[in-house]
Amino acid sequence: MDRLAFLISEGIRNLVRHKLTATTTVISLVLNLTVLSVLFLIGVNSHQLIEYLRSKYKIEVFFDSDLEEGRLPDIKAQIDAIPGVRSSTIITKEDAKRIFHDQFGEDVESMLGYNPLPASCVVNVVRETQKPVYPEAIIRQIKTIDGVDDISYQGRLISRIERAYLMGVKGEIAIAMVILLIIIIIMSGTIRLSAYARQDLMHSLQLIGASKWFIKIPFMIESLLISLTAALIAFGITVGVVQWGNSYLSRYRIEVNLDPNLLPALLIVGIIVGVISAQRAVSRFLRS
Amino acid sequence: MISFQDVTYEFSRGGGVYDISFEIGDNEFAFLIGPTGCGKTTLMRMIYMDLFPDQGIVEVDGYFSNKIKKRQIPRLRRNIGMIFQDYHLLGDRSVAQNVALPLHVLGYQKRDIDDLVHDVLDQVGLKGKENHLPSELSGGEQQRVCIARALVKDPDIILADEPTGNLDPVTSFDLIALLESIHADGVTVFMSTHDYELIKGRDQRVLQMQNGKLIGT
Repeated sequence: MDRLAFLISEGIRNLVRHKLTATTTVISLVLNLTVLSVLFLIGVNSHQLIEYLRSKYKIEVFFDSDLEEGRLPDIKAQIDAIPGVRSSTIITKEDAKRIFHDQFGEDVESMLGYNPLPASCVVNVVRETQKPVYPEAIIRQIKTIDGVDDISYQGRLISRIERAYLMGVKGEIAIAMVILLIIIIIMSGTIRLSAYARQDLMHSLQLIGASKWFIKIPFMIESLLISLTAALIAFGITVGVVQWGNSYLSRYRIEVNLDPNLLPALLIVGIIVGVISAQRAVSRFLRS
Repeated sequence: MISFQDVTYEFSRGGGVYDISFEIGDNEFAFLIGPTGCGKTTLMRMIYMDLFPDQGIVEVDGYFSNKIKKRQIPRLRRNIGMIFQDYHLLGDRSVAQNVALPLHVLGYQKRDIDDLVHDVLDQVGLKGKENHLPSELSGGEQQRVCIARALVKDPDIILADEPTGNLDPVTSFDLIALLESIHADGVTVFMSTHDYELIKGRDQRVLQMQNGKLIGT
């Protein structure tokens, strides 16, 4: 316990000794982590948007006009079993006649003497998936079902939306990786400066039998204090920006959701960056 | 025990030690004497495994240079107290904090650290200097801090590499007297020096080096 207290006090001592460098590092990290937070929120909110759009995707399946109504539950079961299908609703010939009447105010059967409207099925595709939804695969399988006459769907639009979403996700991941790399480089530079100034201590510790971890831990604590402070400030800034943005966007009935995972995500990034940076920076001095 | 068997180490740009063999038993006090640049520090560094021989084997406290793993080196060094010509003290820490450093490494409790530091500073004659910075002390006093730091962890071996190099003759003699008293408590002491006057007429064993070779044991 006393050893841990000693290591923590050494980490804080390092930080206090380089308060100017530490402050500038915190500022740089805050900027980068805020951009990362914004990317995270864009990702979360665009995912919610794509889920909403997917909920609107509809595939309409028209059955042969002479299909027996008794077969409809069996066909519905076959459609529901296709991967990518969330639900389906059967519209019988009678339902179709009623809908026609509701929309056009005419009874098609009394007009023509028979009901020409076929039974159909509205198919909803899944929306809660990380993978893009391509309805072509679903349609190919529906076409193989006996009794299916025609299929209508917004194929090109759906594919375009999904492609744009996928590109957006890939772009976001690439930018996030670049920012993470920048953060690690900034932090490593700071810890390297700190380690350079403490070479005498590191050398003395090596000579008196300190393990590498005993020497590294204070620098890791210093690094963690910097990165976690920056993560908390970045979180505060992001919350402020989102609240300000929502007050402006609310007049357009748009709201950006502040995901509850943002703070844990930022803290995890802070811990990972802190540990990797200190490890990189101090190992060089220990090798030499 | 310290043992060198046919040890050779050569730096890439020349110089080193060649075909060195000797043994220093437990609780022995030995001097290593030779002119500056003859290889004394190289030999010392091989004892605390900062350098490894190109040929031959160094054995210290049961650890062999050809078998020791990297993670075992700190364990070996915890049994060796090291004293250097240029002290290697931390300028931003008090005397007590410098001396306490090895005890933190060994995981001692704070209460025990305070007691041990107090006792060892008393032993080396620095009572009352606990809160001074190294820069506020004379060269002799700084070297005593260095000795206290080496002694505080109760080592089996004290290695002193030119500990009197920066000291005046009177202080140097005092320092050797201090090392002799430490040796009398059962610690193996191996000290290097280039100062023949300092060891003249003493009872201890003298190993003599010249041009990287041991010419007398």
